[in-house]
Amino acid sequence: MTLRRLRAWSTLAVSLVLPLAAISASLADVVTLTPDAVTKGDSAGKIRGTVVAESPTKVDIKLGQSVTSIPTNEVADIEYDGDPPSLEDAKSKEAQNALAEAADLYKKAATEAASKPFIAEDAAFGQVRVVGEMALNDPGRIAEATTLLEKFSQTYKNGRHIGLTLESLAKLQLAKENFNGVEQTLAQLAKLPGGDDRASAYRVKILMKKGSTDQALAELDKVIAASGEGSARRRDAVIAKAEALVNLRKFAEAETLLKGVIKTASAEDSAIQSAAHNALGECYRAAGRPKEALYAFLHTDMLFSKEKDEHARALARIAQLWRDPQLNRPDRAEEVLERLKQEYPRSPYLSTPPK
Amino acid sequence: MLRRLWIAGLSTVVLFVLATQGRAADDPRLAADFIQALRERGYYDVALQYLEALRLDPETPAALKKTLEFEEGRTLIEEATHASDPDVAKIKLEQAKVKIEAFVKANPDLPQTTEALVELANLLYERGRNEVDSAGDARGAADKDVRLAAARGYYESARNAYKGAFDRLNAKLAAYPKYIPPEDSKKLERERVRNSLMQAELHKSVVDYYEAQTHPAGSKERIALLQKGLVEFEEIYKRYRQQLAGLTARMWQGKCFEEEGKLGEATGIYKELLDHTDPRLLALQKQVAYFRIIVAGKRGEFARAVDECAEWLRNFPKDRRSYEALGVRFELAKDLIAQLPSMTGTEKEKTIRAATDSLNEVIRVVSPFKPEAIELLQKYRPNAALSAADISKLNYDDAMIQGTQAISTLAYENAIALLKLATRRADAARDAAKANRARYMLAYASIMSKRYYEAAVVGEHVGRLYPKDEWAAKSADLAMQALVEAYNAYTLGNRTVDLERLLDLARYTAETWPDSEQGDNGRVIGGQVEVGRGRYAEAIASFDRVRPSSSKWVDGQNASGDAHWKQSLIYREKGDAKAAEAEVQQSLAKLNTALKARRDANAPETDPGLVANSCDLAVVNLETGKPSEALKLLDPIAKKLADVPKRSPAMNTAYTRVLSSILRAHVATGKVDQAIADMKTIEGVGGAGNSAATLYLELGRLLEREIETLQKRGDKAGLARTEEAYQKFLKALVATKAGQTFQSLHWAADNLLKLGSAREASEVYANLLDTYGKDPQFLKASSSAAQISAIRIKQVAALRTMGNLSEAETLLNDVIEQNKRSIGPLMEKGFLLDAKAEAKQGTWITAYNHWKSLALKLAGMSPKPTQYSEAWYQAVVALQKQGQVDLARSTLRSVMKLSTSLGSPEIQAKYERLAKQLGK
Repeated sequence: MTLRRLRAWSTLAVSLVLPLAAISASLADVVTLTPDAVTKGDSAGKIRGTVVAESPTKVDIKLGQSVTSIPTNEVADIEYDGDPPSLEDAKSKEAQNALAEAADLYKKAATEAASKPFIAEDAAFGQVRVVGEMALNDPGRIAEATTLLEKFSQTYKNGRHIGLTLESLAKLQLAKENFNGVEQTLAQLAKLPGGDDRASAYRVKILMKKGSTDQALAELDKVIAASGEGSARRRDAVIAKAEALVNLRKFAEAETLLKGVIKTASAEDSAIQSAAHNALGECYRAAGRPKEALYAFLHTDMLFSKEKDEHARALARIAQLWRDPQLNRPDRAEEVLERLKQEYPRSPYLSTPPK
Repeated sequence: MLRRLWIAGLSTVVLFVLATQGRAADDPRLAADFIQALRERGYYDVALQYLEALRLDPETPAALKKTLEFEEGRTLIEEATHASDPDVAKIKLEQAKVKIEAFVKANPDLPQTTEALVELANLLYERGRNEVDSAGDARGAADKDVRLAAARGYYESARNAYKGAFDRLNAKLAAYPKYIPPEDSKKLERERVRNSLMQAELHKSVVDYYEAQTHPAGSKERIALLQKGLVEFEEIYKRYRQQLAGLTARMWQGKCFEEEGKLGEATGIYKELLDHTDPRLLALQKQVAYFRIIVAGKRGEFARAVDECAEWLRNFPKDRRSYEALGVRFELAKDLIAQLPSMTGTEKEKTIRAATDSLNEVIRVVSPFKPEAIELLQKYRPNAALSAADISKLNYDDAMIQGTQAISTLAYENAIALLKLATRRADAARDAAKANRARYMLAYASIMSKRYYEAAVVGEHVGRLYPKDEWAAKSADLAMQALVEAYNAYTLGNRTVDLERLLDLARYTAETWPDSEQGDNGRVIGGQVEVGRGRYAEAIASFDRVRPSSSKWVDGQNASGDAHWKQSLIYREKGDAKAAEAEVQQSLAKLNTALKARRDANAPETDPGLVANSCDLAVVNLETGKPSEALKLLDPIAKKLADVPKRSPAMNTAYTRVLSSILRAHVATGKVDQAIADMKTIEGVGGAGNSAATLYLELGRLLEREIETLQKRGDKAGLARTEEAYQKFLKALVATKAGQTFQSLHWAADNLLKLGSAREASEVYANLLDTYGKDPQFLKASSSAAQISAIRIKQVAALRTMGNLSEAETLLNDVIEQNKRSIGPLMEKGFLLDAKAEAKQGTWITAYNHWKSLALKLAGMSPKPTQYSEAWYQAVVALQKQGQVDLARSTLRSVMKLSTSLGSPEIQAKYERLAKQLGK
């Protein structure tokens, strides 16, 4: 009899504990840190608490009585307590590459979370970011995306997303070769902490687009010299420098630089690895080494396809390379082109090969 | 004490065994029974650990210690029989062989030795079945044929081994007294021998049944083997009807009846066996029940068959991966599908789902049922291409499950899409292990769909960046395979890139996982690449690093021997006879070691590895003046290959290689008639689907190489002997009326001309022109005009060699007139002008002018033809003959300087020799 009672009590205790645990787990904002973050998180790279402030430079999160400040560039994602289900759906759709649906859901989430400013901003940024991404592979949407990004950058100029918003805007302006517009955007970006470096990288791209390779190289050397060994900024600049060297037909030097980036960057840092492998592919292609070029671009396709713009570019090049007389497999070229059409139906690479 | 500790350390899974056999485990007298109990429950690794513990325990009695290797061997055979991966099974069987052979050698008189002999035969039989299982998973018909042929070889060896064991056991049994008192230990010993004897006799006949299965249904080979089996099983049953061996023979008798279509007889026998109530017959009845299901299907009683399948699966729920269980699932699917025509709607859909679910179970394991199961799956659950929308919602686990399933049904395109998604879902930055598992499978699916670079990229990424990951070594291995395939598939452009990438990865794999099969594979592949690059010393070093315990060791020794041989040729070329001889000796030693290892492993004479090994050895024998040894080695192989009813293209290639070496050996030993017969056989075989022309070209090259080798060796007597033998052979060949073709006569005449028999060559050319130049059928072919022109030019060359210059000139002028744009006649004109100048019927200046003008003409072509370098060479020789040495020297230097490549190594060597003659 005693035993029975005891068992009944323990069952009750469990049933009481469970909802409490669930409540305490959900009563928190969760900040996911970037893999290279200096700020310490738990073993999964997360910090839990309540986000109390956000700005272009930092996010403050309160746990108990202590407040931790996380630099904005170390925040990969924030899962806010009490976010609307539509925000989760939007993220899920984005992960499934259903970008148009994701954009609509982000917009819906922003409306639904109107009374929660951080969540509303995050959802609104989701919408403009996704639309911007779609526009990079769909020139017909560039105007719409530009307007959205400009509006967002005015509305949330003191928010944590402002840096990334200005970068997205600069990318679109570059794609349109709207050099005056880019300069204005970069001027705003440079005013943000750390934004100067990012702005420099885009200025180099402008110089490259304009064909001023020597000037671009000089600019890049300055950035490389000023940035820390192994930093993301340095790696971006090195990739850009290698691209400039390829333009000058200095293939061996470019190859060495790019192999260095590939080796030193994290093996799974898809943003850097895809950019470096694509640049290496361009280097080999320009040097008349199609098999090696193909091998380099295939890295982006098989391992780093998460990076949509780089992936579309890699697919376009792979299709071209399979047609090269040294490979001579037009069937494979057709197949890859078909994938490009399916996965990126509005990609500019479908009509114009990558530059 | 040690046994107690050992038992205490065992996992709970074994506790059941220990509970029942605990005392046995602690009592060395009952150790064999304990091990048998472990084996019966499938605890092979535990049994092996226990045996090792007994070996290390000083308390283990000496008598028991003697039998440990035998018990280990038996355990390994059992383990191999139950392994679902044929490669694993093969390794286990190899290990078992070593153990049992060592036991038999060390203990010829122990009672267990008789059982060991039967186990050795069992081992060969299992190797055969293992090959049949692998054939079910073969890549293409050729691969399947090779595996089935290998299986037949093992079955034959097994049959011989059973017979040998039977004879020994019979003699041993006869030596026992007729009456042995029950308390005498000899009585038990005699029963043991009798038991082994029955087993040997029964299994010998079972081998016939399984060999029959390697031939197509209805083929005369299959029918003959089944009829032989029927007679033998009947005999065994009659003799041992009260024993399990007799009843087992009875079951096989029923099976042979069933295969012959005598379903009534088969059903009667099966019923009789299933009616027995003795629980010791349960294992046999499990097999009989499966066979009865097959009969029900054959009779068209599909519903009954389905019920029996369900009952079988219910009765033996733990027996999921056995041959019988797979067979029952396969029958279940077929019997369900057979009922579909009478169904509609939901019922039909449900039945299809049940059948395909069952087929999905079958295809997970390599078995003879797999290919047909895949075919049925593809028909009833077609692999329509998956759209991005179909898969985008899947999580990692679902994508992996569906990806694996897609691989099983050979739907590689779908598998690639699913596994790419799984990789993305795993998020490698956070969980690399999960992502790498998906990537390994992605690499596999990519290779299977011939996307070699894609597979290499993925495999190399995992192998190089996560060397400690579970999937790293396997991924690197896949990447090497992919790069090998890429090298062979993408033959245009710069192939060195692929080769260097492969070599780099092979070295990395060998260094990173030195004690693994993948590391050994890296060593073998690295060696092969080095051989391809002519770096034989590096190749030898790589091959020699393959671990002796590796399954690749024999191939490594073989390849190393071949590389030593090639290295010897290099030394010979350089004039270093001593070093060359040392290499030859090393080559022979390694090739013989490899061959012995293959024979010790009972590889059949038709085994591709054994054939290639023998041919490599024969080449060394042939080229070192030992043609009789080459013949001794190759004749039995050729006979076996000739007997193979339907040779695959790969086997034909091997057969052609054997015959070509035999032909050379016959020529070298002066057996001209046999050489001609060889030639006819080769033509009949047709090589690897090659045309006769290719075959003759290859033979011509072999002949040239043999003569060159003798020339380089400075073996004047050998050279004269070989040339004479070849001339005799060629003359006999052209004199043969029957079976001649344009190619065979053309080849013979060309080689007669090369060997200086210009008159005979000229006669053959004349004959060819007379026969084929007027044959309307021959002339219909688009290439006939070019072929006739080529013969006419050769005729000019023959006449020129004979000194009949004016006749040669008349004929040549006619050829030039008809082929104004061809290079061949103009080249021959140059040689004719040289001959005239030499015979003082013309001048060297005329010859020089012709060669120079021809060279300048050829220089304008893009790309420059091979004759360009030859024309300049001849022009320089003409200058030298005129005494204009300075001009000759400067001309030669200019040509050598201005040409990026002079062409073949031979022409390069010619230029260098001439430059040396002309001096500085």
